[in-house]
Amino acid sequence: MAVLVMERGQRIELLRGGDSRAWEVVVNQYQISLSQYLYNMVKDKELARDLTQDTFLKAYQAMPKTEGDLNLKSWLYRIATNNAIDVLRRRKLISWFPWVEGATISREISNSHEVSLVQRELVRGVLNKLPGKYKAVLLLHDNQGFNCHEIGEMLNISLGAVKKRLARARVMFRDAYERVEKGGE
Amino acid sequence: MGCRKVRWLLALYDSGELNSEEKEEVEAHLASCQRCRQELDRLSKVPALLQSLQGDTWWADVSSPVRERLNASSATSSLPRAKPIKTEKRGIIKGRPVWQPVLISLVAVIIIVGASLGAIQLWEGDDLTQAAAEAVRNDPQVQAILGGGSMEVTEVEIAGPTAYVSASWGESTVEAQVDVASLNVKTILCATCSSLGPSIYRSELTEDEKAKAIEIAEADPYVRKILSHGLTLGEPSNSSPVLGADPRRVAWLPFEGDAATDEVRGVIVNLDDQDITVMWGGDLPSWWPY
Repeated sequence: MAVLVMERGQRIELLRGGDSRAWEVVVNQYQISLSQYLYNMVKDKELARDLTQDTFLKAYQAMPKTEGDLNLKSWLYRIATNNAIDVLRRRKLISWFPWVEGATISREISNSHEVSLVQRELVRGVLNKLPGKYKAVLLLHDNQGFNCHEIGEMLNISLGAVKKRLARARVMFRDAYERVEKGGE
Repeated sequence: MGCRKVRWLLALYDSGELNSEEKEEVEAHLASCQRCRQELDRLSKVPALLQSLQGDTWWADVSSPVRERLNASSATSSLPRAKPIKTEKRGIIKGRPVWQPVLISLVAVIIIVGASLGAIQLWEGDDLTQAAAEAVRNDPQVQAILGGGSMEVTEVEIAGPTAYVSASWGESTVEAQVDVASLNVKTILCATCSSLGPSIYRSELTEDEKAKAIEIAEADPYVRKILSHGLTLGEPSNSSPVLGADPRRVAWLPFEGDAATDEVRGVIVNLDDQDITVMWGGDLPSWWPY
């Protein structure tokens, strides 16, 4: 019989101390949402997998250097976002996306499951057109459910800057999406 | 306020991110501007499109590689070692080291106690390969995935304490990991179960296993104390938050009836050795049975 009690703060202390069980829980708790977020960021499953792994390893290494009360979730997303933007910048991942085919398929397929698959690919394709920092804010807010205040703390930018970025990202996304819907590009 | 100035506020109008002053400005403008009303309409679909991504079933299971890397780095780095967890009366309680590397030094011979015969069988080399293949062939979950047909074991690779067995039938293929010491089939990777690529097959616990998990948990005096404070145990599942454990042999029973919380709270029952771990994330209630 073992008891693993994690009081607020104590959990962070356990993580800072490199406690393997506490880290197990963290990895299991966040790997699904982090890997999906990273997949939407980079549009490449293998890369998303590597980045997810890397996020946890970086967190593990950096954890002992952190101080005070730490919002673990935001902190992991910060590492993940920086990782992804860094990779996007370095690789200049501008992937080709079959706009017209995708749009055509979605009109032809009657199976709703497949429609939603195609739909998701379309959304990811449009997202991929946006610069990393806009994509990140859009995904964090509209997909991952963080509010502007949390995103500001996460990315180390002011609340006003987050709002402007989110507004701009939504407009950019909307414009790109409508172009696809019209079968352009 | 003109259209230009209101434009960026419009993009945030639906998301509760505007303060009351900004909201009023937008509403006043919308009342008199048809074009901006249309613009708002076109913008309001964006969050829903982004949310459609949540239908994704793909996600990366990085638990094993992360575990390996962390084990490797904690062995070599100067990071502080894990501290045992203290509770008042129980002194230092350490859980079973689920996450430690399995310290099975498998030489050439694996000894398996044949329960039915009461005899000792020795597996080596090809025999071990055969035995691992047989374990996969007989596994009900593998059979379920492969449709119960006459599956073909295409490859057996033994690496340390684990045998990796690939099997297929028709279009379906699985890769099962078999613990060579016990010949228990552990994780099953199914490459053809989903159109999104290989994923860990997380089967449901059987009804018997669920019942056993509840029985083990409820028999534990410490768990009983916790349950006496208006909590109940939820449906056992194998999506245990314990890394490194065979997901099919460990049941996770969440505590229910608590105020809504996103903390991890529940009981982990190892069905093999009946080991119990209580997990309680967040603040401890005043009644906590130390």
